[in-house]
Amino acid sequence: MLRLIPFFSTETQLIAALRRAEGRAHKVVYERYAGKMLAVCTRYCANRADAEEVMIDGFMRVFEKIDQFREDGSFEGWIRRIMVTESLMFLRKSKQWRQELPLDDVTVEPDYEWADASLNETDLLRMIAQLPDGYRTVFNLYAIEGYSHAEIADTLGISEGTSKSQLSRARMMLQTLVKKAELGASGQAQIRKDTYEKTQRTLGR
Amino acid sequence: MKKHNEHSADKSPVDDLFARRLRDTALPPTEGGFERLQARMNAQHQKTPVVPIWSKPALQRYMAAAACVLLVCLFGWLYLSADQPGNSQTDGQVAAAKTAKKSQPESSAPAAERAGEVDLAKTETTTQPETGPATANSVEPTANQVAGNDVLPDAGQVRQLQQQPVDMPQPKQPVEAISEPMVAQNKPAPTTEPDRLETTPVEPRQASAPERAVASAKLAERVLTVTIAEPERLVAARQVVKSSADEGQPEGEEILSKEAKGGNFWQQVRRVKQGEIFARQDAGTEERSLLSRAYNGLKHSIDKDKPTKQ
Repeated sequence: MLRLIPFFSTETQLIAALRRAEGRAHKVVYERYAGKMLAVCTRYCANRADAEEVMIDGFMRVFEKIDQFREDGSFEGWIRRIMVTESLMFLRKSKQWRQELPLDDVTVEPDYEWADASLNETDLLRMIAQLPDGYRTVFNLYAIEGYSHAEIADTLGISEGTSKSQLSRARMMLQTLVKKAELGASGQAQIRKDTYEKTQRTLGR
Repeated sequence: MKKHNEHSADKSPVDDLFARRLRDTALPPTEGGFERLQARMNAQHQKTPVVPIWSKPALQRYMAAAACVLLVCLFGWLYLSADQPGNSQTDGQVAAAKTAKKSQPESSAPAAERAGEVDLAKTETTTQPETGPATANSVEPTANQVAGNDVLPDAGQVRQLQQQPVDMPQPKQPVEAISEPMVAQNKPAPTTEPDRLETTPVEPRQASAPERAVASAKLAERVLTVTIAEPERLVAARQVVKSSADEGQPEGEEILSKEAKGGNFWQQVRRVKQGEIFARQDAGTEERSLLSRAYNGLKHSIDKDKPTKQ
């Protein structure tokens, strides 16, 4: 198995090499942070191909603006902010922000313990990808990135009320999706149970 | 950016589920992603060519303004440097140089005259033993004749002088020098300055520097004045013509004076139309007036002789 040889032992050396525009440092940064940043971009873009394009653009921006990085913060956090910004720019160019879907006011509370134990990251990303762009963006910014509504409103150019309403709608949709997954999983389990009982009966005869 | 999740107590279980599971998740990127990144970076570097600083439109305004300021400063400096009193010497030098340039053509003419005189003197010294004082081809012997022997040349001699080519190195200048005084002195007054003619030419090569200066001063003072007395027949003929004109044709004189005001060319044309081949009172060069005078004298002498013969 190939293993990445650590050319740069510390992050400071890596950043210094990036400032010297060394191609080896570019490759190390890409291989170290590409997976995480691709997950970030996928959460926002909901399309794997678009997410990869946005990620590549984000890495280009990282290499170009490396002189603006202040070493008092985390380098990964700085890259993540750049990726988020690139994703928002991509969405702003192509999509409508204030798309709203009619939802039922019935709030269904799923079993979160079951969901935490049974659903993997790919399932959760698939649920997020089913949200409209506005819902998904606000939920990502508020729930995962930790932005406030004021900051979201300032970043997206919307009001705080719009941000709050879209967040609540995103939550409702995600709860519904988790519940569907739960019901689906229980249904499949019931189907499996019924199938097992039927086979046992036939074998017993 | 302030993270609200760290401080907010009322966190939704959905938010917590997704944040906990997706915050640090990673997805495997596709192969060849870094090659695509490198290719895009190289393309971007090729797209942005190196633009020289003077071709940037943002800087062209400042460059134009700087050029204007530079021009204004240059003209102002030139104007002020021209007005400064410290440059009066240079101005004076320039003015002196200008006056010298202007005076060069004026002084060159006397210099040429002087040179002509020197040449004339040289030719005097050189041609005298060869041709002798009685030859009519050269001008200087006639001058010597006028100066020394008071021999007045006839009109035929004068005509011969002008018709025959002169074998001198600079034939025009001596002839002009001779002819000018003839115009100035129409009256028969054969006054010459023998002292000036007797001066021997100074050879500038043999003389020393102070002697050259003295010689040049003397040369500058030398003026060759030659007057040729009119023959008695000519004077008599002119008096006859004057008397006849006063008696018979006062209107013709007025017409002639009016014509003299007009162009010489048209006067000659009118006279040729009238049948007069030779213009008697052409206000042209002195040679023509001399010839016309000689012609008139001969004509009147012939007219006088006609009635006596008849």
